[in-house]
Amino acid sequence: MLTDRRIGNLAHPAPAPIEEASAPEKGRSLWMDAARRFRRNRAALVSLAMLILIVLFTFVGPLLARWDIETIDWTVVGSVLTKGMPSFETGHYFGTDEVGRDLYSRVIQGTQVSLTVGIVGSVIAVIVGTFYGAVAGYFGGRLDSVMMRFVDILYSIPYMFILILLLIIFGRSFIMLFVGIGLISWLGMARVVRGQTMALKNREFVEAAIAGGAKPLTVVFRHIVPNLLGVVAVYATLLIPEMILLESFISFLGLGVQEPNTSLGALISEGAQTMQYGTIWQLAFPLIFFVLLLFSFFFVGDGLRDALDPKDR
Amino acid sequence: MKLNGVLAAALAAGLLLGTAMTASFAAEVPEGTTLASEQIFKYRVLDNINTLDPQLVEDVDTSAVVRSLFEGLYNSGQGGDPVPGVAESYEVNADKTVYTFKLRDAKWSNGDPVTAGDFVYAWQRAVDPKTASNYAYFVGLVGVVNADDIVAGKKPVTDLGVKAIDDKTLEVTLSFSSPWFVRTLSHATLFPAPKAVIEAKGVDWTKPENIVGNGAYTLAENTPGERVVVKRNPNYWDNAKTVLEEVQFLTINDENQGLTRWRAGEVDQTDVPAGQYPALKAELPDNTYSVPNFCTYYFSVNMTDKQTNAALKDVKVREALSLAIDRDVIVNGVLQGGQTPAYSFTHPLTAGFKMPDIPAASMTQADRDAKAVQLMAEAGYGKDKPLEINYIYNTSEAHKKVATVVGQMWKEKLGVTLNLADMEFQTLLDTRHAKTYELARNAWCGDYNEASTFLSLLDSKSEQNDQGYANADVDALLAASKTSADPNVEYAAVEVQASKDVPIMPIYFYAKVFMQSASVKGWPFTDVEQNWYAKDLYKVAE
Repeated sequence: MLTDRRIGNLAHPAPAPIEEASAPEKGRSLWMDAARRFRRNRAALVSLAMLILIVLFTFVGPLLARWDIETIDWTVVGSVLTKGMPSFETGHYFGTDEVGRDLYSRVIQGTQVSLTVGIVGSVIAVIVGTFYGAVAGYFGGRLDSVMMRFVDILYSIPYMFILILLLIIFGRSFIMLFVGIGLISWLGMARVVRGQTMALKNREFVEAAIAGGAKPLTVVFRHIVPNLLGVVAVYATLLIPEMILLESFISFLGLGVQEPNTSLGALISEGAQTMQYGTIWQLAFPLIFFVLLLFSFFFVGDGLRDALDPKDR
Repeated sequence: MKLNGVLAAALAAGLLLGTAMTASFAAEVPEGTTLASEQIFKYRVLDNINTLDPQLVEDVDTSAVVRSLFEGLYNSGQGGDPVPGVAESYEVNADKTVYTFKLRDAKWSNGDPVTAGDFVYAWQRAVDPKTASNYAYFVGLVGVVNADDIVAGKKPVTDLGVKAIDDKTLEVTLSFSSPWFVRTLSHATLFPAPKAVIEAKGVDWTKPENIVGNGAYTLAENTPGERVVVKRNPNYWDNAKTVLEEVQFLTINDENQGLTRWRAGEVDQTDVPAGQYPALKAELPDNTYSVPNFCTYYFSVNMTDKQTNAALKDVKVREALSLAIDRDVIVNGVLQGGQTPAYSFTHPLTAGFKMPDIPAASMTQADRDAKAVQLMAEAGYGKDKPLEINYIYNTSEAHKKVATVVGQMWKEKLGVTLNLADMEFQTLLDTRHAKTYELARNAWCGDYNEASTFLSLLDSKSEQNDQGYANADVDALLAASKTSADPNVEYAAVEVQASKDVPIMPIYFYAKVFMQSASVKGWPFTDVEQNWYAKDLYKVAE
């Protein structure tokens, strides 16, 4: 036993100490640190993998589809319960919906729509909210008051009401949906970023930048915003599922995307209506995707927060 | 078709009886029946009950509510034949142009007597341009003298051909000989109206605290979009025979939810969701019903310049679209509730009506499709020049299914894209009347059992002509049918002309497909018009 060990040690002539010695010279960036912490979070890692798989599926899935989202399988019409079941033979891998359209293609399309809505909403929030919040927070004073009261006013309006009015007046379309969601998604982000900016703006590196002659906007965008990215990334990830939920709720009310396009919310709504007739697959498949998507985003967001902001744990 | 014969016979019998028909009609509870202790009937309706003013009513469910709050000269009985209401009897002159009604001692819910003057006031109100009723044309349609001119604003309302000889005698003069006039009297437009209340309260007169009616029930509650509750009216002349204490009309805007609530016992009657009839009939044979219903489902094409889709103004496009709809798939695949395909407008069970020969009706679907493709090509549309059409319908899973399926048929056969938009029922009605749509879901239920109730909608003067369809020949034929010895000749000509001009695309003839609790008795299953009266129903103990 003893010899064995010694031989083992000899076989691998201690590479570790050398690395350890050289590591401090390279320096570990915040991001590397975060990545290491994130990798240790099993739930977040699995969720990330799941998320990548779902996104990949929405791109690869259509290649395998034998039906498109709107073509009705006329042989199924009228006997969805017996002939519209999930089956490889008929090419309806997830079965059909009530009028005989392929659910596999529709679920893929619904997932794409839900993901797009979530990501677009989140991107709008990141761009508008970060700049708005950073400017308000950095300059402070009257400008800050005016800008943040504007946010408060928008916050105080029941957004679902506005969204529904918007969709009814201008008609239902993808663009209107994005406009509506974009209008409200950045408010929370602006508040969070403003708070962080206030905390950062009196730090030494900012003073150094000002002393170095940087103009105010340069200070905001070159020195403050990069230091906010951790918070922003976390918040954005958590915002995506919120947006997906919002869109699904609107679709559930029947105000979302227009036929023949669909979204997960619309599919779940249709499936829920018909579940009492035994066509349970119409609810099950969109619901599985919906739940997986939401859980994954929340876990990833959670993992990111833990990784980027360990103090909060 | 057998039923058709039966109805014709019944009509003839009814006419022979003439003034002899004085037997009242109410809930007829057989001897030895144990009535349920709670006599509350809960009826599910799809859309909001949008008015309770008898002269303004224009849809089926609202009519059912108004029928319980008001009563006309004659009601419609179990089989759809007229039975006396406020009138005890009537006399008619030899050429059937002057009807004299003898009124019974009926009372309004506030205790005032119902007089002939209340009918005169109501009928004048219906045609008064100031009332702006969408049913103003109805009074002229059934033949009351001068009604059309009053609606057009050419004569004062006092010229209407109805007068009160005394408080209990009403005389109606018609502009043409009408053997079926009595059949039209169960329609809400011809119900009496309480003049004093309307003049005192204005538009608020139908609110629960103000409304005064002469029906078997009075209004207890009206929560828009939720429910209307009516309670027994002790002042009703036949109150002794009323059994149901209360009727609740519950708005449930989703057939599936309606079914769930019916299963839970929260409603006594609800519609069967599209396509579920066979399964439900197998599961609950004693509660599931499908009876022919006097309605036609169709698409209205906006023929006016208020819509900008030029393609719909091309008759070839309209005909192609109509031909490409596979009605058999809709009836047997999507709805599966006993509906029948429609290629013409008038319901086949209309008393005395002979179905005209419409060429499209006898073709095979393959021939229709081939012709549709050819017509579309002639009109200059096709895969390289695709056509887009906007379609509106009132929110309902069944209407959406029909629209989705038709849209797909058009897309596959003709390359036409159909954009769907659903809306609340009242909004749909208003949009259709305003003619600011391209293509709209529409349906017409006959108001009385005669073909003119359908075909008059093709008259360019009708308020219910949502298509804005105007064909002088059709107008002339409809006018001629009123005095014709055999109006079926004119009716057939109108149907054929309409099938050439395609202002409407008939889809199917209705069946009323519904679930009803076993405890509910007295439903008029054999009445194609499905005019039910709460006073005729009762609930037995289970």
